[in-house]
Amino acid sequence: MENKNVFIAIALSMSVLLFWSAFVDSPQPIDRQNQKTTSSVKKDKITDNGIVPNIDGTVLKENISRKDSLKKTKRILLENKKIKGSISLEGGTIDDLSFKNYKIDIKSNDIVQFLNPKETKNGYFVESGWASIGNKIKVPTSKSIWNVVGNKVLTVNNPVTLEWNNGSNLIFRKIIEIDDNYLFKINQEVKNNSSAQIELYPYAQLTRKNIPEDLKGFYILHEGFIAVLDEELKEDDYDDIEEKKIVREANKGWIGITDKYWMTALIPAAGEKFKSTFLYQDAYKANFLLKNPKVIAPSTKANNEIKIFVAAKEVQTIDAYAEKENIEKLDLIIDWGWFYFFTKPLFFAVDYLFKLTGNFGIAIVLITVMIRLVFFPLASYSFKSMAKMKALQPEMARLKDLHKDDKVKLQQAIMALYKKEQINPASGCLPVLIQIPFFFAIYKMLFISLEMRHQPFFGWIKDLSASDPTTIFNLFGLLPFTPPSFLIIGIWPILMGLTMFVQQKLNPAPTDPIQAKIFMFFPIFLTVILASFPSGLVVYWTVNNILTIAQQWFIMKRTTVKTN
Amino acid sequence: MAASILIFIILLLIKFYNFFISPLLGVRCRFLPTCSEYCSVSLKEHGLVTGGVHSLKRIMRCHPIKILGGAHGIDLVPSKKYKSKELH
Repeated sequence: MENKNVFIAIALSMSVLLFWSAFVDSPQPIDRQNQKTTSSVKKDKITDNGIVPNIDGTVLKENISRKDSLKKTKRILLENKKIKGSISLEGGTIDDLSFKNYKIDIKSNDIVQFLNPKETKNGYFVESGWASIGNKIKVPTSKSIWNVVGNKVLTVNNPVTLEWNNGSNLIFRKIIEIDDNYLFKINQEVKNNSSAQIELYPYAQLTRKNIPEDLKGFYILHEGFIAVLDEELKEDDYDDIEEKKIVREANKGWIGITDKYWMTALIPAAGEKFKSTFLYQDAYKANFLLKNPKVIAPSTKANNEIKIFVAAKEVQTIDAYAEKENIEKLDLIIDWGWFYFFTKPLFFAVDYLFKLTGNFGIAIVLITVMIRLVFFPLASYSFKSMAKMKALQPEMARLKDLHKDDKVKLQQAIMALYKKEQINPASGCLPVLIQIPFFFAIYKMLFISLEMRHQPFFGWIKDLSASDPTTIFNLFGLLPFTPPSFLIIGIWPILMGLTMFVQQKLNPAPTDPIQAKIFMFFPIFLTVILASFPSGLVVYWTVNNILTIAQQWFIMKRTTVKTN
Repeated sequence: MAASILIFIILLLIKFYNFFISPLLGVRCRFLPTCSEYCSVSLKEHGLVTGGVHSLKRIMRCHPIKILGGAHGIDLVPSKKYKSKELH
């Protein structure tokens, strides 16, 4: 009872929020997209006041295919065991990157293409460079063509060096390395062969032309701009940034853009103050610019290291980076939520069971059993008193009728009845409240888990992170047509609804007729809501229901025998 | 002003809870009046701060573990006004 009902309560609140976003929120991004183009031109001029060092910000409106754009510019290839792609020599931009271990969907063999060249529709790329006050110094731009010095293919332990000469005695270099996961290190170097001292500000910038197509837009998961600045987590949605540019200053930290499963992050060199800017200017941009310039005397060199993550949000990998590279709170890029301290250990438990059993669905079933065991005594206590209460319901109704107009008398009569029948008081509301974080945690963990992506369960469930693909409206595939998506109500959600119905039957029905109706309607309502949720979650609910029914039924049977 | 708006919102939430969430939780009250009744009365009587503190304390008592302050039975909002109006 305990667990189940907390969950129902959470689900109800959540479904309000979900419906809210489905009907109220979602049409808005389309409107905004149309407004964007008109406003962006003006903003350009305000920032270019000559006092602030300026980051090159041109975004191409072109729209050619990924294949064509990759052919357009010269590139150096990069590959390790997790990623592959290339770096464009035009601009020295990292703009072609795929995750080798993740397929686009369960049916295809194509891997996820995450970064895309600027000429493509969904351009998403990482730039780094130098800025000067008033753009007086000729620095490399997104159009500059870099030369490769030495090694021509970027692999682990084989860095590449790009070089660009500005034609007036400044030589720029980028020494780019990758490790065996998702980390790029770019060592930017400027050699001043002129006779004047110069000042340059290093920067790095993420540019993304469109909101990702698979944006969930769910209240329980942050997708969009993210930063940890001086140990403080900042999260901004895409539409916040469309409305308003956000500038922050910090002594340490990182900035990035996070998707449900993927991320990019930029990390300035340690010990450097920097300014972080999130803005929309023909494209979504996140950049940092160091506060203090590198002062480069004639005939000397200066350099600056930038770390760039372009990663799949694998928990262990991200945690290892946070520790090894000493990047503060990088692990927060995985949105564990408020109940971080529950969610994360829970994840490790499920992941352990997954590795042990080899099936994520079985891991979910096992963790559900374990949770039931933890709450077993609490639930038993509650079921016992509930069972007695149910037996006393006719008597309660009689008392209510008797003391219709006097609440206090009624309360006293009920208390006296409890005493007479020796009923333990119910478990109270605090035990319920305590469990809310816990159940929110398991829910959230299953919702965000990259590890559950494309993991099969038994039978027709080929991907636990996707909703149950079967539907009752074509008799689970017997009839040869596919109903519209809102009518896809699969076997697991229906099982969930049925088990919930049975479970409810074991509880005393509410006395208020309206409440009783809501109560009856609830399993149906939740079946429809859960139909579109990751099937892993529905499996969890169903198993939890069955276990609850078993426990409650067992206790009830015993108690009833005693009271009669 | 701000406090009274906040109280109004909390009272609305309690109403929502009464109708939509409480029935699903089944009979679980150790106290009379119930926690939700107690909270509404105490907020109305004592205002946001004192009433809020009373409400929180009540919820913290609402469990079966005696050494952690668990209790049960009739437990009225500590107020002469409430008692005089409702009890006598």
